[in-house]
Amino acid sequence: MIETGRICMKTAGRESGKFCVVLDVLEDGFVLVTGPKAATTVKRRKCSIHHIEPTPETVKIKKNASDDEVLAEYKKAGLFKKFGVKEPSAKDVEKAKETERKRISAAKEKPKKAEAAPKEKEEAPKAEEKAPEKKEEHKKEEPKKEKKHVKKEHKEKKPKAVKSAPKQALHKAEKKPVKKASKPKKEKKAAKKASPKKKK
Amino acid sequence: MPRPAQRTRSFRKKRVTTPGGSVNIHYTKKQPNIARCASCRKPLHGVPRALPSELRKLRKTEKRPDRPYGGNLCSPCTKAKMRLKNMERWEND
Repeated sequence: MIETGRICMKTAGRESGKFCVVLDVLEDGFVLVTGPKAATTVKRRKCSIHHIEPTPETVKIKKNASDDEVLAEYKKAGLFKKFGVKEPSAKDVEKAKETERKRISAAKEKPKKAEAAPKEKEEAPKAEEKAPEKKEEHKKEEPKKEKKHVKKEHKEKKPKAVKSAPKQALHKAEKKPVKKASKPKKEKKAAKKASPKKKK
Repeated sequence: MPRPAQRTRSFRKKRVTTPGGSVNIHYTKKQPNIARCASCRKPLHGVPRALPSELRKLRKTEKRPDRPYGGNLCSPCTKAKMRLKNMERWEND
């Protein structure tokens, strides 16, 4: 009974008591379903077979058809009267399309953000490992006078380094932000060393 | 001696031990009974057990589930009702 094009009624959830069209039969007892939304306010998503009751009516559509095609078939068969559903106007159809687009695009963006977050975490500890190694080199090589000059340079660059910690990891291949990350720490040590000298 | 307003059985007496070691009695109002399904008398989920003065402060979505027959019937009873409706609709056709 349950196949592409079969009209069913939902029995569970927020949309119970409303009619929907089956688009595709998935595995593990699931089914893709739409209203379409402009006609019956049922959204385009997965549903379990146990939460659906089939009716004797069908509609001729292909697998995973769009909402416009389903609406056109509804009109041909004259099903709006049978099911007691209002014919949606052009405005209603556009509104429903926009909301569905936003919902589907938002659902696609979520896994992308989850993938991007762990990548940044992997690159950040690598930058920290390299920074302490270069600190020791700079300390021994640079005499004290050069540190004072380095201070003035760093003050100009400070706001850039502090703002964007994750961006440094992304631009790692292009430039060498490792030096920038180590610099502000050096400033504090240089300031500490410089201040007692002035007192003396 | 309790206040005159607290001298009724609708108040609950709760024993409380103080840091000094003495025992005092606190008077609190009792909680109302849980809501039940209209057809099968099972306790309903999603409906808080609160006095009317507290219920009025809650939002509409916090007082009942978002389903048809939300605070009235339990979920298995609504499914049975929807199936009945569907069958009756297509019986005569």
